[in-house]
Amino acid sequence: MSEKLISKKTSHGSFDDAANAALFLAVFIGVWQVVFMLGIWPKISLPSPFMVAESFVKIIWNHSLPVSIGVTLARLVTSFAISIALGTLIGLTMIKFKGFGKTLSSFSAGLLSFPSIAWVPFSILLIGFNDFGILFVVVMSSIFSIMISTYSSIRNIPPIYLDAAKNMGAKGFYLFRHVTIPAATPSLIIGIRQAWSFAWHAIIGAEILMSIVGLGHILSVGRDFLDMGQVIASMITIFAIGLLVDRFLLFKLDERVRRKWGLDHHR
Amino acid sequence: MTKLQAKNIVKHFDHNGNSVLALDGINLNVEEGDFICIVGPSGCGKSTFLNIVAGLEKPDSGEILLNGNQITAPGPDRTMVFQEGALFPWLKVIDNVEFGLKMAGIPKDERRQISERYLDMMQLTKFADSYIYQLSTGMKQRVAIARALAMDPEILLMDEPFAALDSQTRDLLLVELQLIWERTKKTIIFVTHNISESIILGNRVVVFKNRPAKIKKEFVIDYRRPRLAEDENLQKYYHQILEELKSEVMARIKDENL
Amino acid sequence: MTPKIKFGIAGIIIALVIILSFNVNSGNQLSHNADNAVNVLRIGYFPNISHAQAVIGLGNGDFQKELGDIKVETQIFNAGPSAIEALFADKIDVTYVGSNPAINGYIKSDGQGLRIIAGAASGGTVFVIRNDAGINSAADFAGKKFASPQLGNTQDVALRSYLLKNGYKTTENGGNVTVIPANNPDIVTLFLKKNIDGAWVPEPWGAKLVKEANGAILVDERDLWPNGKFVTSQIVVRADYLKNHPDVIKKLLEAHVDETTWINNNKDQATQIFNVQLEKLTGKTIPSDELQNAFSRIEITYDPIKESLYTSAANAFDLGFLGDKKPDLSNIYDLTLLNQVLEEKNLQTIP
Repeated sequence: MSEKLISKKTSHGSFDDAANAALFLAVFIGVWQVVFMLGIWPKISLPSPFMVAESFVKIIWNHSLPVSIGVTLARLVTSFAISIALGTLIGLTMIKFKGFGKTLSSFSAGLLSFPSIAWVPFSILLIGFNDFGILFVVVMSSIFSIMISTYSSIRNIPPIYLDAAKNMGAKGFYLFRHVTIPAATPSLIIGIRQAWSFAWHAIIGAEILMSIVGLGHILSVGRDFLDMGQVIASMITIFAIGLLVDRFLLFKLDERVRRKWGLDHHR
Repeated sequence: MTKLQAKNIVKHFDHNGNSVLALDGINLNVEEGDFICIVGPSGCGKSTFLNIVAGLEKPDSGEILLNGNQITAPGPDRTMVFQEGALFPWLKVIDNVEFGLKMAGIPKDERRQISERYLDMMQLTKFADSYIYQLSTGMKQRVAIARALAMDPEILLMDEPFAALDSQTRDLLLVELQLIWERTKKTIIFVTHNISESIILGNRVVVFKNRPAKIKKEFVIDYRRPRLAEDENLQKYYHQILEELKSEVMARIKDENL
Repeated sequence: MTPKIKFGIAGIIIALVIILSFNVNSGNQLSHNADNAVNVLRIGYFPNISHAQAVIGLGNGDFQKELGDIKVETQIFNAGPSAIEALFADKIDVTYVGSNPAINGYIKSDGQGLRIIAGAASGGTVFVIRNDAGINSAADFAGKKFASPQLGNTQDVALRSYLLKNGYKTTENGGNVTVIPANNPDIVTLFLKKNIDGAWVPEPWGAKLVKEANGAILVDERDLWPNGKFVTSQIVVRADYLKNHPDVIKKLLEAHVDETTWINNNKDQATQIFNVQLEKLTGKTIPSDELQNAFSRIEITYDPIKESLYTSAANAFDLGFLGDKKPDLSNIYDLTLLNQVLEEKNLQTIP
């Protein structure tokens, strides 16, 4: 019964949200148009909304935008997968070898806030000015998030779940797969979302500095040719994709788990 | 027939660098079909003892024999109902109950049959597809009991399972548990600090002495079933056990003040 | 406010914006007020050999002396586009810069934003290849990887045009030659790591690659131009500043011409002084043999060599860098003040 009531509220809620977003965006564009017309900045520095729309059409029409989105996302997905695989492995190693785990986790503040761009010169020298170099930057930017989140998620599992499972005869890999992982999942997802946003920052930065294709590259080219319309169009694309992936992929995943666990269920 | 034997169980704990003796040679024989209640002041080691029987902790010396065989690890032959929070929130009620069965490799239909039977016994059939957060505390403990029984253990261990319940729910469950015991003929070891609970439920009540714990005295409660809390004839047992515990509490107070 | 009303208002605002964008000339802005008298001249330049007049003259106070009461403020850049950005954003008034950024800026501002008022250097770019890259001539470029300092800049256009003229297409266009952007220091590293096979670079990087990174000059770009002259850098001023303060600009040009003359008459001394000023700007110097070598291929001049710019623009257009319309550069030059200065000094004017 109550489940039905809840879903009705959220569907109304999201219509409301959409209206608010639409109004906000419209006002934003309106103000932008007015600022443009007042001529506070020369049009070469601040183009009008219409000029940005024209740039959009141009880069979609000549295929450079769709191709770039494809390239950037492909690199991103690849590096993200590597980050998750390696990060989880190292996180588990941190749990197995307590000294190692403690040491690495004490460096975590520095590791997590390390700016992704700072990896670029190192990557150019070590790996090279190519796709692998870019993957390296993105992996280094996101892997620590996964690592540390794996480590702390598993360590923070209430011991009673493990006791109950062992009591029923669970051990070894079965215990790990059927109890440890599900118990750690809500916390792991938080780590994944954080890693995603780091990876997204990193890929664009790396592409600006190290690439001849991709969204970051389109942004950078726009700038090199003083095409602010293209710069802004790229920025909007970058923002939109980052938002969409988080909102429609990761957020939904997070929500599903939270709903099952009743984490947002307040009496 | 002797189901479980605890022989001279000794356990130390490391407390701020000092080694403290928690269990000082516990000896206990549990016969098949017994409902044994272990009573003692909080922190006296009764839960530790139960964990050792469950195999979740290891004694420093002494052994536990189940049906004559020494136990060395936790297992589904000694399932436990914990005080709270031991159900898996990522699984539905029915999947929680089936967890051990699935692990043991029991085929799907049989699993479903068994778990539905026990859910029915605990009057939870309507909630089979609910998630844990949707249940009240009383219902959660019922699920925990169903889960523990579904494994058909040799002996059922219960660690203060009703301590977090309100008194009405607890009274209801005390009756239900007695009925289940009569129906399933399970051997049960039940740990509590609540004297009323122990005399309502147990046919034997074992009083644990203060840390280091030792069995101070054992009472046999020979009274008809089902027993209810307000039953006056149980009063005499209540007072006897209370006297035993009082001196324990006094000793503990003296201990802490030292 | 119900959601429907919100959507409605949003719709109306967007409709207004669209109407405004179409009715008004897209790009119609209320005009700026003209500045009044000004007593600062903000000059941009790079710590490069091709901006030698600026490096030396601004460093040792020659320019400030010529400009007298007008305070000279300087800003260093590493790339053309940034300098033009700063020019249009009113952070600087005049800058030394290469051809392609100047062309881009002119086009992007519909011919209104800037003017080229003098040349500064000619020549001084080379196509260097790695000695062990297996390249003996233009016949050996297939499958190779080359670098230029920045996409669309002067060297990049030169490199790509050269490839095109020799029948090669770059990988973005389905060809087999890769061109990557890399800044000059990185190019040295990439040479050493054998990650690239060659690069089209401005001096002194050519000399450096030869001496330190096992490079060899395949093409001296002067050989590709009539009389071996082509503009490498020039002085660009924001159009409204030129209109409002011709007197200040004229003083600047006097300083620039004097500095040019002095450098050409005192080559050895100029080389040394350049290094001194360079160290003040960047903390580093260029080894003097490399510097001598580099200076041997560059000509410090005030002639803007107009034809070479038009050719460069045509090349950039053919490469697709300048959009769909062939650029109209008819008003990009304003040499009136330069010629006044030259006449007053009894020097030959620029036609």
